[in-house]
Amino acid sequence: MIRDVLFLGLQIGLLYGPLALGVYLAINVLSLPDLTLEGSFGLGGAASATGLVLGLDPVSALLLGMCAGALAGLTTAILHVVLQMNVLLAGILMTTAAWSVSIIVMGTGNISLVRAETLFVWAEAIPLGNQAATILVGGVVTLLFGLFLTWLLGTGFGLATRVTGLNIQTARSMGIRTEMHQVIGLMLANALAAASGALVAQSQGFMDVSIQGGVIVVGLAALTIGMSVMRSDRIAAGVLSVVAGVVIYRCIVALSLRMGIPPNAVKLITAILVFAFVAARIHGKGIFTVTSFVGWQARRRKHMQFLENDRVAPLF
Amino acid sequence: MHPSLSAVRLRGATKRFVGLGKKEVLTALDSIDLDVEESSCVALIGSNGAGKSTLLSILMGTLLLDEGVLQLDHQDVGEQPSWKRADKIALVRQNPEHNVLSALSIEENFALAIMGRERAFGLRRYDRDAVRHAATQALAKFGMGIESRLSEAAGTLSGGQRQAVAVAMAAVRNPRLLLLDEHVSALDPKRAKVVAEVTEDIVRAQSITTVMVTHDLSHALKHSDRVLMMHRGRIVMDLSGDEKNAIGFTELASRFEHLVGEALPDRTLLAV
Repeated sequence: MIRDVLFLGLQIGLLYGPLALGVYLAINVLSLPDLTLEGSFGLGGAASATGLVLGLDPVSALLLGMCAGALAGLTTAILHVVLQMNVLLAGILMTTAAWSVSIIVMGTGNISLVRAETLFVWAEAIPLGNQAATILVGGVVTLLFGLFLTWLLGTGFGLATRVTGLNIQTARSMGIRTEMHQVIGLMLANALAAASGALVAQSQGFMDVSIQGGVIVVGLAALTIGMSVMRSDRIAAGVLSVVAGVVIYRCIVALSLRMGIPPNAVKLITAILVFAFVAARIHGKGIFTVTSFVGWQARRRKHMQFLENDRVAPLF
Repeated sequence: MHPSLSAVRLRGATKRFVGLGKKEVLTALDSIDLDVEESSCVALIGSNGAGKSTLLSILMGTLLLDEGVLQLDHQDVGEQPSWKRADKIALVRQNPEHNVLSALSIEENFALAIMGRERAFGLRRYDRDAVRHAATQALAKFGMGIESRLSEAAGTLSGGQRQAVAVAMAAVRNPRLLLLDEHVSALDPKRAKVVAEVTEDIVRAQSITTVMVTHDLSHALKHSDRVLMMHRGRIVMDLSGDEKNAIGFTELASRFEHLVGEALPDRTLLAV
């Protein structure tokens, strides 16, 4: 059973690998809470599926989907950089819009890709079973993008992107054009999310606009789990951990389904999982253990310090 | 002063801040004319709210002028964003957190300083040996042993060590103009002395034009070629050459109190 769960986790998790990388780039590296990633996931699936139906080969269709995602990221970045809108707000608006845009792109709410040649049909022709083909394609695509992101963030350009996410004032006085790094970073992050959408659409053999619903949470789960599994400031470790995070997350989901939890409860499990990992990250093991009076006092002081340092951030 | 030697030139520089009610307007810089001679070190003193920090921000570009002209090496830079000026100007702020990126290693911080010098953040990895060499040379002057910790995260350094790194990074950038915004005021007296003295050595050795804001009058007299006093957005006193050398701390302090109309803070008096 452990073997089953592990393979199931790899099979579905790796399809979401590029999305996890996009979430890592936008939220962790750039410190921009960009919810557009969810819309880009759907948009990438829609553009890629439409491309396949129109006779594109699977790789070109994947790239087409990524371009659509990059455009969504560009729009959010322009809303943020030019119109000075909060990224969170811009992302919510863009994701809402992306739903309609996806339907417009496809001309309908869902299209079938049964007759189309996909990356997964290619892999099955090797020949490989369905599960092995999915793991292979998801793994190769995630590996390529992971290596690309690790390389990029190690260059001078990538270092400047990281600094943009750490402190804008310091970055600018070091000669970094921060707004450009935000625009390019958001385009890249959304292109990665779109690649995941395209992979999911190709692997399931049909595209439905509803696949984008709630995928940002999958990315957040990957990020929190990954950061808890591996704590390091190194870029390679960060990229590896977020991919590991998304696989672990899918393993946990697969395990809970195996244990008889109804599929409708998956979103609840996801939310609880993210809560638990975030809580463990902030409080260590402390929150789950009963301690002495002194320990309770120390925790109370820590909490008071948090309240003293709490800040409000206006959304508009 | 010969006009061609002027590295920084301000003409009619005015900056106003509009208050919350949008009716009250605070004039932080009131039509300032200023020339800073090349390779000279200018100290800027004045009470809180005199406009010293606003002036530095205007020079760096984090604030833009409402009116007036700002020239650097006879080029108008008043409309340039701060990142475009970074190859010419370096700023060391009071708070160490804002000068050095604690999440990155010391080596990466220096790599950024070197790339910022050319404003070239390209798709190549930085030259590790060259960065480490430059960092080691610049840090060795401080004698704090930071040069042996280049791979560590900058966040592991103390405040004084971080300011030393910030000054060393500025030295590596070798800017046309160095701005120091009370860069040793958050340090303990011993560390402050070391950082201030090494800073002056670097500035003199590399002939960097420097503008430093300080609350410490004796520091201003000792480490600068020229002392400017600001009050309510204007330059009210300008001492240099023999006039500056002749004046002692006591007289400067009494002139300061006379012009500003308030007593000096105890800390400044005790610092003598």
